[in-house]
Amino acid sequence: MKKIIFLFLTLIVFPGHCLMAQIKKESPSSLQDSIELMRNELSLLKNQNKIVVARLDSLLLQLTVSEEVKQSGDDMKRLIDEANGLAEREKEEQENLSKKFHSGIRQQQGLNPNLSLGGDFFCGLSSSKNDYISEPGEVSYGNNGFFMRETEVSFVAPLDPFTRGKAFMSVTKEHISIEEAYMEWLNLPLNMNLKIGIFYSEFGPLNRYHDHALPQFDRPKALVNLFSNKGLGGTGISSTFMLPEVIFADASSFDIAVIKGTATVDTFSFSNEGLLYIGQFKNYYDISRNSYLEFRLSGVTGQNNSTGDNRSYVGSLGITYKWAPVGREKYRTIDWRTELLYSYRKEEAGSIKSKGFYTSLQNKLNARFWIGGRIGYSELPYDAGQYEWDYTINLDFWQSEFVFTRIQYQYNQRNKYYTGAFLPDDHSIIIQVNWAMGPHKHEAY
Amino acid sequence: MKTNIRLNHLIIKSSIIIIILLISHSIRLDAQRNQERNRYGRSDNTKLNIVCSFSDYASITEFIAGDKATVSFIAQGEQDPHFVPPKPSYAVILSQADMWITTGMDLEMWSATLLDKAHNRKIMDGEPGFVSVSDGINILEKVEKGDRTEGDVHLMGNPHINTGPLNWKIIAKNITIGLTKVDPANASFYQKNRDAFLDKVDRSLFGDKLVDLFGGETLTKMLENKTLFTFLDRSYEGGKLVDQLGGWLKKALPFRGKRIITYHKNWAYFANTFGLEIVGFIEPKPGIPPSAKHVQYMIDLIKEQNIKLMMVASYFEKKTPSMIEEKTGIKALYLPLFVHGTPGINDNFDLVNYWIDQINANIQ
Repeated sequence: MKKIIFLFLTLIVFPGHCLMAQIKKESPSSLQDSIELMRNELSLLKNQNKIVVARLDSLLLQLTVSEEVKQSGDDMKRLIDEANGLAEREKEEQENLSKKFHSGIRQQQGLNPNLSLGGDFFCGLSSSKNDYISEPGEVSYGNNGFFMRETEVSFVAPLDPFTRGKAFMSVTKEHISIEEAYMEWLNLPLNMNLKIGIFYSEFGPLNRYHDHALPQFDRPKALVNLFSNKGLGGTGISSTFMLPEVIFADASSFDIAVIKGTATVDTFSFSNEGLLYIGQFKNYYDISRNSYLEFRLSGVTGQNNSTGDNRSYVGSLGITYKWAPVGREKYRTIDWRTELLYSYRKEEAGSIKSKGFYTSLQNKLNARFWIGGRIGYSELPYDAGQYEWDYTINLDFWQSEFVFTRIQYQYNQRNKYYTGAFLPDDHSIIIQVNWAMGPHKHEAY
Repeated sequence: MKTNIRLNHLIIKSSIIIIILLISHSIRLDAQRNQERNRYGRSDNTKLNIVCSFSDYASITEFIAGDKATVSFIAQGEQDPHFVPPKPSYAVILSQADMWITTGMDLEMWSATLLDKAHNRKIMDGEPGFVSVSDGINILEKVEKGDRTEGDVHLMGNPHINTGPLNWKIIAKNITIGLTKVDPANASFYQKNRDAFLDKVDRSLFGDKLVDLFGGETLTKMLENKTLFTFLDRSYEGGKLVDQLGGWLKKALPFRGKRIITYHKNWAYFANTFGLEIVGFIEPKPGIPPSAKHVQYMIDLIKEQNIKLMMVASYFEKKTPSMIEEKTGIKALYLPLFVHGTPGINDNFDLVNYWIDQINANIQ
């Protein structure tokens, strides 16, 4: 029992006494300190809580963003995949059992030359009823009636990597003739082209023009009386050299040709015997963006038809001016071509000097209409006392680049004889319709 | 006395010769000024001499060739590309060229005469110095069976490829191939410039954001196969992908899908790229001037379909468009077709900017 009482006193009463003594000893200021301590601890706990909450928020945010990025990445990948799929989309080709297979060995049309056909129809009304009113020239016109001046068939193609071939056949009711047929080496040393075959020679502004491309219906009389209606041309060889710029020109060239003249009647400058030697120097100037000027100095010599071995010489100065306002050339252009010709003909009885000229103007009024005119004078090469003037105006209507209609009025004033008869002056009206099938158009340059 | 006469004749002849020489010289100086206008860079014998048929090709070539070449062009910017007089001076320019860059279709028919006269084998068809820029382009309006009932038809299809910015990328690639063949030592230089050009086209056309997201090549293919705008309708970042579109396609959105008429088939590639619908032409057929009957048909069409805009290349006559404008209230918009077609348009990018700005300003 004593042990129990002692244990009770030791464990309960003594500590309780000590505690009470302590409480009595600390109050009241120590209580306040405790409260303060607890407040501090509480504040500390609150701060720690805030940090934890913030960290939690941060973690949650990171988690959300990560999910969004993942989602966005998936969207982008999907879009890119779709884009690539769409970009590569091609038409699905179905198996076509009705398809037929062909060999190309018999289908070589792609190598055919450019083939064109041009028609040159006209009707003439003349105040004179002479059948030979427009002679000398092997094509008769100026008479009353309907005529097909020619049908021109052309073939143009490269022959191989080095050469080109061109052929122009003139077909009339009476006969077929070769207007031009030549091959040409384009890129030879010394800036040179070489042409062989039948061709019109480079001589003045208009000699190389085919009939359908002339600025007026007919060739100027000054050329016809010297070289016939066929122009100066024949079978032979010709070369063009591009020269260094001469006399401040923008382009200079020299042409030389040796040809055997085509058969003509005796009244022209040259016979068809022997060879014709032809040369031309050409200087070209760009005057401005809209205009240019070209000078040609040409000469030809060959045997004439007089008795004996006599020669004729013809020289010419040609001037071409073109005005084509940039950006408006489809609607407005002016072309002026002039040529002065001088002929020296040696005969047994002496020499004959004759002159001639023409000046031709073309003015494009709009996309469809051209107006033109020409004045020409020509002394005959075998008799300078005989001469003729021609005055021409024409109006052209181009319904497209391939079809045009022309009405031309011409007054011919003559002091000229033909087979002993005096040729009268005459007025004539010509209505011409010209068309081209295929790629060969009425190129003007 | 005779000596005096001879002296007078000599003085007169000498004076005439001197006058001719002076006139020739003044003409020559003026011509030189004209040629300078058609040239990029300075003339220099150490550089490649490149001649292009049109200023648009010259502008792209200049971008790629940089200072390695002197680039010039034949047709003026305001000129009808079908009708360029083949002047002898152009043959001289071509005779000195290392490269000849041309459409390669049947547009520059005038160039055959020049090439034949130029005596320059380096630039003939098939030679390394000859570049046909249309090679590889998806040509529109190809003719299956051509005849002249369709007017001055282009057998190889519509050759006005310069109006489509997507075509420029193929043009640039073809030009780079040509440059690399002619001047292989600088191949990497040309290829780097070509890539920069392609990127510039992409960014000008689609805007930076879309190019960065999908790449120019993918976008180009989608625009070509008409799936781009379907694709741009997809959702992206809370909006639509079309919100990311920039460049010319964005600028052109106001007129996308609109109906217009044009004078000639010049604008086929532009319309195809920017979604314009061309419902008629002032020309009844290509190259055929408009007749009174056709003009009346167009007036009725414009009224019936309430068409508001007519695009006319500036080299065409203005009389017919003005008359139609007056009778229908449609706006006739005269636009240069090529670089340098009007002052201030110095490259292809300026040109398309100008077209789009003008269309936006005038479409009602």
